[in-house]
Amino acid sequence: MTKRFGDKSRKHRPLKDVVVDVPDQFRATDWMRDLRRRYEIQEEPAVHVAAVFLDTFDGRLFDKGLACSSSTGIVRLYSVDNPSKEAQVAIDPPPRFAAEFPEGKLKERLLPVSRNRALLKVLSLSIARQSWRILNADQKTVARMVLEEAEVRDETQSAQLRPCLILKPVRGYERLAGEMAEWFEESGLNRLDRPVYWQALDALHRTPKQHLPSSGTRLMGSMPGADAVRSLLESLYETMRINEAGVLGDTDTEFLHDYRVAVRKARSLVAQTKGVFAPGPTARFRKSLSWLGKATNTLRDLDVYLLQRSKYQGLLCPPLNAHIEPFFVFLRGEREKTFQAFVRVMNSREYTDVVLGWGALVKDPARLGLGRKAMVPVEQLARSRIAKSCRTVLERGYELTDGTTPRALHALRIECKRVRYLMELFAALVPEAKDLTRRMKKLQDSLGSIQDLTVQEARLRQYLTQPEICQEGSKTAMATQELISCVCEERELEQKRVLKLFGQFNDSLGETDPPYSLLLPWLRVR
Amino acid sequence: LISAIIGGLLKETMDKVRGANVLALYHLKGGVGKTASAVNLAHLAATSGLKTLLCDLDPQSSSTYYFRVRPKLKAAKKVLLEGGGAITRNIKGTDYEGLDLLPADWSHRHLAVSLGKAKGPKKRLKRILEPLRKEYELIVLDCPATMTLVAENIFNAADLLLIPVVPSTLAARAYSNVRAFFQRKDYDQRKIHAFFSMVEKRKRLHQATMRVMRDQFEGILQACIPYAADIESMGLARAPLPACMPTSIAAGRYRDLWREIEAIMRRGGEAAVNTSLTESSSVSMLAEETSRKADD
Repeated sequence: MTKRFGDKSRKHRPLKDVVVDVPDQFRATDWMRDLRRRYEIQEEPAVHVAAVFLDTFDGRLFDKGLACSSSTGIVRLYSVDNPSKEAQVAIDPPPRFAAEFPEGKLKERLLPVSRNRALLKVLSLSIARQSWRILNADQKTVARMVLEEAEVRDETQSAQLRPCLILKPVRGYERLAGEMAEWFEESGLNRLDRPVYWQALDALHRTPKQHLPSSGTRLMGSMPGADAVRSLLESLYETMRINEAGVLGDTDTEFLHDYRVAVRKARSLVAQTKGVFAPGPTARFRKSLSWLGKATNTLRDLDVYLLQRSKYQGLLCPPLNAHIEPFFVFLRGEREKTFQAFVRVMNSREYTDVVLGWGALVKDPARLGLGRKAMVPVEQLARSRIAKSCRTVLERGYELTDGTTPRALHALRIECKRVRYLMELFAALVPEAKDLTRRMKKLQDSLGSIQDLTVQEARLRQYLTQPEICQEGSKTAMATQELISCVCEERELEQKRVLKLFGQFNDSLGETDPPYSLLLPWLRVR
Repeated sequence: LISAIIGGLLKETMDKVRGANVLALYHLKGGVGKTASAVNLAHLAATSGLKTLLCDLDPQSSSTYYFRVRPKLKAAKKVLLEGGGAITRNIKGTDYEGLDLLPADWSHRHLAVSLGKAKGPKKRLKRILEPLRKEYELIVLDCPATMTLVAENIFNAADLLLIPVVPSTLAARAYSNVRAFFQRKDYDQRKIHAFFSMVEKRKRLHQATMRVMRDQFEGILQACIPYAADIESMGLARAPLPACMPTSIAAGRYRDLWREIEAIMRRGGEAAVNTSLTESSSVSMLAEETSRKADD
């Protein structure tokens, strides 16, 4: 077969950097003298460089084998195990979100992984760097050599990394780099296969994950209901507390989301397991948990709106989409005010009392007391509750029509959430619940979208009443009106979808494979 | 409507697949600062984080000289005609990380003749650069002053045609000729971007020419490169100006120019379309205006 010009098979494969460990007893002066005898070397001024490694709080980049570093105004994204550059962009300081990076390879690679999660500092390196250039007869650089001595630190600790020498080949002069690499080896300098990011993480004995969600509680089906539910509540309490610092730091909206989910799950679990504990203490804290949920509702709504900014801008055609920007400025202002209000709540005496009181309760079985169902095995309890909640979802679902009110849809959404929470909490005991969760997800997402669109329409209408907007001929007002129409249209479409999705969910429950045999007696309401 | 939508989608897909932008420093007229601009812009691109390849297409091999590389290619005749391995084997790293160079070769002086004998002679360069677009984020072409088949290859290959214009009547006329050629041959005129080069502010003629040209042609970039000894001294230092004299005024102007080009690339290379003036009318108006302003 003849080769066409520009044939891909001839793609250039660059030589990788050679990184070697410099042992403590290494005689660097003698070694350099030998090196100077062989090659013409030009020493560059020594520099101190600071580098920061970034990842999402849940280590999404690391999970995908990626490392993201920012140093000297350049952000690099590369494979953790192969630090030869993958993509880079000059930007200082690095944006918090992938969407805020300029268009290019780095953004294309980063955005699908980090999505709307903030990029947070994992660790920082302070590097003392000494470089040399190897020159040819024309005084042209044909290879580079860099000695790096780095100190790594994160929020709580620091450590010194072993010095390493890096040989950087220059394209077109690979043979010389190969010779030098061989000579390095002969001199007793061994290759370091572990990239600097790995070394830094090893030195700090950690992974990039800043906040590990609670691993949950190991439940046994035969456990008494009271013990199992109490340990679940304790685990949710831990999750809630773990996220508090992230919420206050306002580094990523996901902290608030996780915090809210933990609060809601705890509240739902208490409500769904009536009779397991003595009624008095839990009833009192259900109200407190409800207060915490309500205190964060507006903040979360605003977060969702701002996270979906590009989607909403995309609903409008140019040039109208440019005029909607003031609305997002307004939302950011509102969000800041709401956030500060919640910070005040979190710093209040009332909040401390509620949280500490709740913590003390869930950690102490004696204070929770025992109800009439306390000794019912947890598996039985879980199956019964999931089935009953599913039944309520189906009953409400059968009432759906084209004209169902948003309020009724919201009620159905709440029921779906209850089932979802139960299924997630008791997933280990009810394995078929995992499949049920998957089947319900589309329905739940659709109901969630309707709720978001309803809230967002209200927010847009509120914005239209602002004095600076409601002037005649205001282009922002026109864009807002247009966006309201788009939001309403989308909600109508979504409402039609709900009927279809509910039908699919209902049909899927009738299938024999996978079997819902343990749930079916409860589920068959029709 | 359907064909427009399909065309739009196809273009979008092609743009995603295409990869690096190709930026050509070109002018029909010689001695206008093409090479200095190509070298300095390529260096600025690399320091801004873009993996950059500078292709020296000019047999004078000045860019190659600036980077201390010898103007000699292996299998030179194949390089710009066949590409592939012939091109990648000849690429050299420069003294600056992220910036590679495809050196020039004396045989490039016969390039127009060789292209004439090849198949698809006007799009040869575009096709051989295609695989390199995946490897690099920016390809800068330092072009010879020519209006042969080589020029047509450059027009087809470039996403942005950057024309340095010395604010003098003849250079403006040559610029007009290039635009007229684009119009006549139906090339995409939005690729063309001009900037003033070797500007001497104290010369009234330069000031007047710049004013008139800005009035007559849309899309002339704001950054102006001065006529400066520092730029000439690049030949002594054999290094780009932002590397050897980073604090010089001219280096600052090149940085301004690079920022404008970056913004254009972010917008997808969109530039203003030519004004409705014909070549002859614009040049005659220019000559008239500049001589009047100079007399004043």
